[in-house]
Amino acid sequence: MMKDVSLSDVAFSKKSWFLFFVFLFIFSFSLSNCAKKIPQAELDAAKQALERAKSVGADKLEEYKTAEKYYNDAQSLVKEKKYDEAKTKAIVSKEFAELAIKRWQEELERRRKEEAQAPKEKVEIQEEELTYGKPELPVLKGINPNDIEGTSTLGRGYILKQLRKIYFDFDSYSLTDKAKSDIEYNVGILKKILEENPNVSVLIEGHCDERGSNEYNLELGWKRAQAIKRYVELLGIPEDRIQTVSFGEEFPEDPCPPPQCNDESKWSKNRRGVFVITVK
Amino acid sequence: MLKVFFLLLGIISLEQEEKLIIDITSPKYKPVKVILESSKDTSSISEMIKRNLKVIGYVELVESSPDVLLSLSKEGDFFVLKGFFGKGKDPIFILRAKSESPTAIADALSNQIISKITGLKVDIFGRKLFFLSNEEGKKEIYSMDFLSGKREKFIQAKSFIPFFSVSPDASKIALVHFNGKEYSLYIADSSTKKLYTTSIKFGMFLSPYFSDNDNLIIPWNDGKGANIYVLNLKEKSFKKITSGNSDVMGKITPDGKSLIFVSGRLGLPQIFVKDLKNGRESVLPLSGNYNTSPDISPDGKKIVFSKLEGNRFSIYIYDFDRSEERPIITNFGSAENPTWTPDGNFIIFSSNIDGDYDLYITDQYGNFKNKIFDTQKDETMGFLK
Repeated sequence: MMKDVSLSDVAFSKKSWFLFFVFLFIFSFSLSNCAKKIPQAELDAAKQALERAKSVGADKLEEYKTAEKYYNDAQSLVKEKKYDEAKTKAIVSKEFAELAIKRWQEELERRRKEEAQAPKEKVEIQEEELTYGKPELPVLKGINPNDIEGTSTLGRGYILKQLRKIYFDFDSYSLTDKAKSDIEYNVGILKKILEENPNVSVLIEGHCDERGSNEYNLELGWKRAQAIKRYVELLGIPEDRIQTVSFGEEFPEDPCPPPQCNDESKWSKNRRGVFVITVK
Repeated sequence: MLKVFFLLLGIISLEQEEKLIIDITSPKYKPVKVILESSKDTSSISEMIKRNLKVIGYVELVESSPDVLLSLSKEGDFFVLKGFFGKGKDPIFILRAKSESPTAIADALSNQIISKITGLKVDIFGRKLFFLSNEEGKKEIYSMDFLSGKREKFIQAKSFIPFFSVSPDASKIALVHFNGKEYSLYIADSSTKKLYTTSIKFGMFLSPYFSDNDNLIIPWNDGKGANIYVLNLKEKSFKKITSGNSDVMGKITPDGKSLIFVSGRLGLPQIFVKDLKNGRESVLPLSGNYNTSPDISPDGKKIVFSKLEGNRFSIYIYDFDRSEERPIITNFGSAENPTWTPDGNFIIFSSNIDGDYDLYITDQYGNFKNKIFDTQKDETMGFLK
């Protein structure tokens, strides 16, 4: 016999369903509350690990760059309120940063052992006067004499008006987009010159502004010249037609010795790479 | 009243200790006022002594009311210098000197006067000052008897000389010269001026430093970046001791155990210490992000160095025992390339506060900053040997 379903039974069932949905709502809410929490501790840990890695010099390694990328991703995800994913990225970032530190320490240890085992190379010491090999400046074919701006630093070669100077940021030897564009322009001109004049080479001078020490700036000038040279080779000029030299801060184009002179427009002119046509 | 009282205190301490002392570490120290009296046969030496004393800021030459009266006379073959307190009748010290060279006498007495006044062992007069000057339009090495004022060109450049170092006994000079393509290393015999070079004919040498008379610490960029090497002139060996590929200057401590070097391996230049036994390297805990040009004190306990602050250099001292740094020259143009005098009491540095770079002398507290000589050209990198 079928049991008659009373109104009270139906009411209980509805109540159950109501309670069930209330419970479901509360459960979902509590879950979503967990996901709404910014993973600050993980982000801070990742940031500290990146800073530690940078302070010991590990920022040159690929592991560091990966750590940095994950950290930046984590920050973007936080902005999008995707906190779980951000947390994961931050944790991975920290691990990569720590891996970078470990790898760097292993590299330093390897270098230490190498230095300790490095043989003393023998050198000869002979009497010799100071020399300065100033080259005979080439006669250039296919160049209008009016295009020659003048001779370069210490008379190593010719500076042509149409060749652009390459400029750098402070303490940097990275090529900016403008620098690359100017090098590309110069290479277009140089290829013709080098083809018509097999006896000449391109000399790239690296210069610095007057801030900083002479030793560091001589090395920085070298890095700038090398950066330009690498790009010039990439654009198709063979290595044996390119020479480089650094003059550090010794020959500023627009002297501005600090602190009497405090003019960034002058300093920026001095942080330059110069293309010179010289003998091969 | 206070000043007199202080002087009286000084007299009391002098009678007990029988030596003149001013507290050069006190920020309130004042130079000792001195009158130097001389006779006709001592006047030229007296003038040389006065010239010497003017350079050291512990003494102020006055016309009247001295703290100390110096009296220079000749007794037989000896030049006798007596020091009196103010109007005192009994000398507080007597110095006797004999030499065929009046300059040598003046230098020896000058050293002794400063020693008596300060309690330091002073030994700077009578030495030779080497420096770079662009007097003839290019950087070349000059020398001068400190402080005769007579400068002579020591090494003539064909192009220019950016760096050099003098051996402790001043018998050799290492220099870097741009030969048209590379920065080559040369060693000059100081007495014959003969030049020697090595068989390393490529790359770029940077700032050399004689750690002793036979070992030269030299950064060399072989085309991959600068690292520091030791060139032993007796064994004729060349050994790499750092691998940062951005190591631009190095000096070995007097005990031979550590290398102090400058590297851009972390970005802008910082000063590092390397234990030469176990190879471990660490960066000195200095403030700021650009520290360079260290020079180690003769006792190995401190370094003097340049710190880039804003767009100018200041000079600081780092004390290894206390692990702390302190400024000694700030807001004085751009103060660069500091070096210790061999007695460890003074520091020679260059500054462009007057427009061109000149050489100055100070002490390790920055108590004074006195120009050594003046030209309208740039003088840098002064070494007293």
